[in-house]
Amino acid sequence: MNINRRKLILTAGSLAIISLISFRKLKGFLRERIISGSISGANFSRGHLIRDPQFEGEITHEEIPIIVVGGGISGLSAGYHLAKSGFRDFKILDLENRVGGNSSIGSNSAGSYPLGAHYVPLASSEAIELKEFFRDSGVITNQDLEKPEYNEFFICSAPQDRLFIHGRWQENLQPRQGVPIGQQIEFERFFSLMNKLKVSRGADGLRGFAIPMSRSSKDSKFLEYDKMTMKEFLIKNEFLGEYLHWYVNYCCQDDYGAPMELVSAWAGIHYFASRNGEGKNLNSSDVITWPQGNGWLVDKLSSGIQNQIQLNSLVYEINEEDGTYLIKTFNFKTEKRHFIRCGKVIYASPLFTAKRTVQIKGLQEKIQKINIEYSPWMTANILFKGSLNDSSTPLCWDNVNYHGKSLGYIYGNHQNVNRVNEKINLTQYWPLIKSTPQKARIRALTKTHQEWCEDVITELELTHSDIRERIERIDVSLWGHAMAIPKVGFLKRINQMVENKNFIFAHTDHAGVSIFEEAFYQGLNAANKVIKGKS
Amino acid sequence: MTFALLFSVAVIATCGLVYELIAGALASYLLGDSITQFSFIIGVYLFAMGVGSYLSKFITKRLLTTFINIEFIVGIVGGVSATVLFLSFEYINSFRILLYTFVFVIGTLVGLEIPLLMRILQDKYEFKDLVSKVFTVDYIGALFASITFPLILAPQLGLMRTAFLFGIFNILVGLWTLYLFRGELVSFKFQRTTGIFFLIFLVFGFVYSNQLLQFAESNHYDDPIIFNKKSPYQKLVLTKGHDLKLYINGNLQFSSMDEYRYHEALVHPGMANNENIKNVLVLGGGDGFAVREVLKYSQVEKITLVDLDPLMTKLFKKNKDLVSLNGNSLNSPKVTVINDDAFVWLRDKNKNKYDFIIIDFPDPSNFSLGKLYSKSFFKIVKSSLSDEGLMVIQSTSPYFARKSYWCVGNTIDHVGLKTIPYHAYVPSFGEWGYFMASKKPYVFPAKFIEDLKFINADTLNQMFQFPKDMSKVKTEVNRLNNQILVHYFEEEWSQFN
Repeated sequence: MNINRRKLILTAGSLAIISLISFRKLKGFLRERIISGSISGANFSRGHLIRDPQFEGEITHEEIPIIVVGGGISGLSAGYHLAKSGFRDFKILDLENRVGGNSSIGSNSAGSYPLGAHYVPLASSEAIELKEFFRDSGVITNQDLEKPEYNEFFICSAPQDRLFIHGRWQENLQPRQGVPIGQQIEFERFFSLMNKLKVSRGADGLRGFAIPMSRSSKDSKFLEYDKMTMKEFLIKNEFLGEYLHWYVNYCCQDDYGAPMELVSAWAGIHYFASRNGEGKNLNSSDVITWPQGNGWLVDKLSSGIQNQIQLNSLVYEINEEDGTYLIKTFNFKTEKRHFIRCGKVIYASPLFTAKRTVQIKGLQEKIQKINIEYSPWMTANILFKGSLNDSSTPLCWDNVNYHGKSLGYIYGNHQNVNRVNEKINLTQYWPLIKSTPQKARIRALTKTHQEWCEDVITELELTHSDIRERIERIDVSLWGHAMAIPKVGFLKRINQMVENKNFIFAHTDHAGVSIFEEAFYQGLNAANKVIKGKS
Repeated sequence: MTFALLFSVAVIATCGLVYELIAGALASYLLGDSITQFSFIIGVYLFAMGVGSYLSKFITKRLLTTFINIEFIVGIVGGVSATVLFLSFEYINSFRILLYTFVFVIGTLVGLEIPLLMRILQDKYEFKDLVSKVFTVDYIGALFASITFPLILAPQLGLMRTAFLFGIFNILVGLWTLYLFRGELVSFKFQRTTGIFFLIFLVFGFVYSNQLLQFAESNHYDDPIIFNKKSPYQKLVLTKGHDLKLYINGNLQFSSMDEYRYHEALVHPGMANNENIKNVLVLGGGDGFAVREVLKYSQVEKITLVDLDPLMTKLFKKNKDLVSLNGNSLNSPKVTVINDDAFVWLRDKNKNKYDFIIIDFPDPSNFSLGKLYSKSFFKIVKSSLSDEGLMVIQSTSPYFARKSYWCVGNTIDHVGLKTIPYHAYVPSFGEWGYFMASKKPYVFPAKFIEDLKFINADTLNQMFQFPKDMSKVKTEVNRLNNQILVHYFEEEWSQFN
């Protein structure tokens, strides 16, 4: 008779465990709370119109000497540098109702937050012009760019990052907690190899891995790395531990939106070995960030050229006629077509758009031959009430779950100096790498806001079991073609990039990796070519 | 009668399972690791039930009376279990022993229930009917418990009240059985009295369990609580015994016995230095004690106090005891109280320069407080100082947290202010440290006002002397991007806790 009782109690006991654990879920389910928010990001409904342009309406004409197509960092940097050299006769066209591209921002009652890019590392030794921009915009506060002093409110505050692994948070992203000693030593070996590569130079005297990438050595001993994937590189060098593999794979996704099985080892190493920036008042591993992410930099680049920026303007065709270019645009605000004749074009939009828009003979055929794979991204901004200090390792700027599907979340109010925030922003980053980019894009476009919310919350609940009830709002941003993936052989591809004297490409597609610094230099170089051509 | 008895079986089954679940939930809550806790609790509980069942064969006489007694004991032990465990958690070292004793006792008694009940009923039914009926309702009761516990009982009533409620149910079953068999029982009257007494006791517990919880909390403090409120920023508890004590988030902020030492040392070395101090800024210090000391100098024209928490400044403006303690300083016409974040206010909103800035923040025990001791913050403080101006800052204990203390000084040095370290003995806190900082070298004051209990020219001399065990150590500069001070502080105070 006791056996029956026992069975019963056992069953009931396990039931109780299950129901206690899933109690909150149940409660949420019963209430069927709809979380408010929006889906934004790259405006694909506008962008997709270039596939089959059927625009009608009145046509107006204008002549402008220089046109910049695209108001992301590359385009803004081009405009910034043109203006710096005294050029004012140019227009930057963007189809969105804001500039910034991947560095755009959103805002809510807890402040502004990034929709995409959210930090920059210290300027490396080769990036002299970047340092000048940093100085001119107040990121660097002294004149001596050899020994820069960075604005302390922009240096990422401590504590910078934490990792949730084996059921607990630990400080720093490099897995340590519960990691066998042999694998911890492997990390040291890996970093010492990367540090060696950081200072190693080719026969041409240049560093093997520099930022901007174009200033890297062309020595074949470095170019060899572009013939294998990052994973192959690890295995070839007998880095076999799962924790290091996780870490390197995480970093590949963080910068390139793709796993290490796809990323060229050259690009993978570049992540670790290129950044040699230093500053008087910080560590070389520190990064520069703002609550609104790189949107702060967008403001600095664009504030002096507001009159040159034309928003809501989709460029759908570019033709060459008698040595000048005819740019056909459609304005979503006025719903009119606007044709611009110009002498020079800086094409600061991704290459896949150029395949549709550029009808210039000789150029078009070459563009069609170039194939770039883009990684799609989703970012989700979570407006949250209350504090998230539920662990002895306090909330950091970057919070990553070793076992998670996303890249973790950024604590948006981290850079604020005030002691207490009633509401906070968390921005979660998801490279959509589960299937092919093409499939992921289609899937992403059909997913509803509620479905995204479920993904976002489920991911957060792995580390914060009681978070659901305190979420006020989730804003999702989709980036169908967020960045060009630097796959094996990508260096060859970028060396084959085409352009002609008056039609200049400026986009990270042509740099190879999609990071702020490269976009900045793409714009700067394009501006310099225009300026030289004029003088 | 059949229905009545079977209903009791269902109630008993529910109660038994609820106690088990309470113990499990409570152990997970207090000790963490819910899977281990539940697993152990279930195991011990089951084993105890086995022990109970085994023991049942030794009960041969007066089955009914014993059954009723068991109901009463289960009711009272189970009923108070959650409360006793909660209240004792803070005070006993071997909480687990108490927890498992409870689980074992309840389990054993619950194990006795069904065998006894079946033997009581064995003459009234055929065996196969009896077994089938008793176990059917037993299972139903258990299901009822396991569903209602997580969905309704735990979230709505809480563990303490749930335990009291089911204790009441057990007692009621006992009393009902007593009533049904009133003719067959010898000790009817005695059992009835006991049952009713237990019932009243448990009902009391159920009604007053919230007050019991508060009582449990007040045991953290030595003296009776006279004020207890939570603001969005912190929890303030004021106690009154021989003296008034204020606790913020459980940490002692001051005792009215000796706070004058702390505040005289904070204010007068600076104030006595210069007769031209007219415009004073106090950052933190919402208790108004520093302001009280500043107001002793009639040349002061304006005092601005910036404290984050309106609850704090309101309390020290309104509470009679506190107002008499701070001399009604916050209501002085010379004083402007601003409730804002000091860092944000000083950086973004303040345009004035001050002759004396008094910084009286909580210790740098976390990262958000650590920012208020950073180089970036002191840069802004420096730019808010008049050329002749002075700044003083409480800097934790140079004895208990030597590195933390000197790190504050080192960080202020790095923004180009000249610092002078000094310390004072405050019985409630021990040896406490400050830094005086200024653009021009600080001159020791020769004279102090009369109206002081602690400081005079002689004590001042001692305050600037640092014995060997508190003397200067090398530290890093506390910056926003390293927050090294928080690390020092954590490391050093952990040795004393």
